[in-house]
Amino acid sequence: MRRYWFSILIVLLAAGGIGTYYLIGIRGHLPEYIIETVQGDTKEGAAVVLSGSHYGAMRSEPLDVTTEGSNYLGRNLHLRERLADAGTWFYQDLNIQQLLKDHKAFMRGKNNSGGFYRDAEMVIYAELSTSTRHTNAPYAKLELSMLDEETGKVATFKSIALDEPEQIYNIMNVQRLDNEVHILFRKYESHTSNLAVYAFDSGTGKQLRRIDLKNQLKSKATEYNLNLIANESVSKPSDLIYFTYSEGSEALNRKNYAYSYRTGKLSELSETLWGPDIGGFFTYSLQQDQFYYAEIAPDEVVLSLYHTKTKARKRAYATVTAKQLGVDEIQSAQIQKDRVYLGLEKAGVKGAAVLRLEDGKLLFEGFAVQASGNGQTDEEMKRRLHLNNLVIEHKLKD
Amino acid sequence: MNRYLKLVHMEIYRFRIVLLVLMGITALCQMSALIWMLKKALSDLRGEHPEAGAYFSPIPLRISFEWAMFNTQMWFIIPVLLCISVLSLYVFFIWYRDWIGRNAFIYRLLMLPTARRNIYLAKITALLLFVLSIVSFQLALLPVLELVIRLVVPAELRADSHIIDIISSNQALVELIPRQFEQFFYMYGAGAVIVAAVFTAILLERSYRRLGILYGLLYLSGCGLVVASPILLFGTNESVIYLYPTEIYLMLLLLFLLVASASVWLGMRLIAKKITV
Repeated sequence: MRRYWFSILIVLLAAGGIGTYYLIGIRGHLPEYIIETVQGDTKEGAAVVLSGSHYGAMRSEPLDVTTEGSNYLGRNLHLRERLADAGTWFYQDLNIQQLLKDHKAFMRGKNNSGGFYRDAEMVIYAELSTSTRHTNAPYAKLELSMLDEETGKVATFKSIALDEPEQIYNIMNVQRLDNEVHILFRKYESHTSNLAVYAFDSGTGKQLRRIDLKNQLKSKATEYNLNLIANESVSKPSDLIYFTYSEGSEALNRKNYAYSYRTGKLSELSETLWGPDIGGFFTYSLQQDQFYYAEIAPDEVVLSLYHTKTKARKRAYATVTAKQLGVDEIQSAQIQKDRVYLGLEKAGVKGAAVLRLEDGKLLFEGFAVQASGNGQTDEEMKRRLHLNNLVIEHKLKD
Repeated sequence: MNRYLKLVHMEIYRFRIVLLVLMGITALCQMSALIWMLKKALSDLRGEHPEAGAYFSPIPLRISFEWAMFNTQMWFIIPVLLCISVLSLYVFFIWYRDWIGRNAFIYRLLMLPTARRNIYLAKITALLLFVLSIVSFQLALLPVLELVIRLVVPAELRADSHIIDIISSNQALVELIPRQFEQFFYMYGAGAVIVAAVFTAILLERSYRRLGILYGLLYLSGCGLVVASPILLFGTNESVIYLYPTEIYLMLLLLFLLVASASVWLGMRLIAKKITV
């Protein structure tokens, strides 16, 4: 045995050094944090992610803090996680998660979130296939896939030629009206972008007509922005879609337009969706016919609602103040589904609150605290932990 | 098994001097650079104004290993690169040294009363052990270097550093020693697959001589094509990849496993059936 001592030493060194490092050495590198519930139900705060960095002596470590703990993104730098993160934004959408759960085979290779439509009977997916080869063939061709949810049958129309295909850029919205599929495209024409709706026969995939929205704009400004107000349920049926309109690089003369897929008419709204008396920062969420918006100030958040069909406005139907929440500042707000998520700060510590959208009732309030501190004092934590972003990540319930 | 272990021992024993020299150079280089840097930083901290551009980052009030490592980058990287170069060359030399010389050692190796595949397996095991032992040596050296800092820098001018922060401060070490064992496994696993493929190419050359060089190159290109096949099939545009992330991950693992199995099988078959002395 004595003659093998060097080999045994090498084996022990190889296994011992690497084993000790990964079993013991990497422990206690960074402090763990958690969002601790101060008020309400922790389950309501499950979607809240406070995102930012932990500042070390020489470098910062990006991290997310949730009600379950902290996740240092630098820790997950391995192949499996990197591949899983490839489509994170796409897979975070609840509508997409539901579609994946219901129709995994149909969803294969489909990852343009603006190209989906779903109603009680059908799922439609539209995708542009663009050729970069310099041939005489049109640049962009449309592929339409239609899934009958009841029978599970898929009808696919490949290579639908579009007129003016060289200008087509991307798909913004897909809708089904009776036997027609309407697709809103963004197009580029002489350095400006415009929107156009193309209608197709859902039985044959043939293009029926094209409506250029710029022709229906009342304003004759040469430089303008027309942007779709995304409905929160992007894959839900909606005959009417809304746009924000502004002129020039400074976004002047802001107004809203509505487009009806059924009539093909683009009309200017008599008043903006957020009303004439709004000032300062605000965030909004269009949920079918209901346009919710929240005005954000450091000391309060004011919730309002505008019904796009009845034109009824419930101005300031709920107000939540920083004092009510017991915080120094309300820093941000987001409206998603039936909840309002607030980013808070209290004595230098970041937190979040969840309100019920319907009446502004507080459902959850929590702040980032140390779960295991590495001997770090509260002051050190405040100096090192910088959670500047509020991110909402919903997970589909099983 | 016994014969295989004896062959592994023999391979380790034949490389022992080089291995010890590499470890010695690494320790000497890193330790002396660290002491030199610390002495310089301490004298600068004690009132003498440091030269402009003498450090990559300004001297902190309390010196840490992390800071010292960051400011002695090259003296840690050079021995690491030296080890990588020597081991890369030894992938070829571990075979060719047996054929070199008047009384080629390969005659005795192939005449041993044991299955010839053990020679192949012993060489690949020994090479992996060399790589892992040098990585481990570097890891074990870090606490020793920390002790050097404790001896050189007074307590009131010293700050503690975590081993991960120390490794992250060096551009070479951060690549060689990932934070997750899982990534370590993928990296060194892929390295082992590449070594197995190169071994097979060498054995093709040894089996078919001049024509074998072509076979070897073709084999290595084939392995490269297999591993790169997803990119060749689907392109880099992710919108046309018809696989979910988990499936891509499993496919990559399978492709590497395929190359590893083919290389080991072909290598063992060549050494058992084709190589003649």
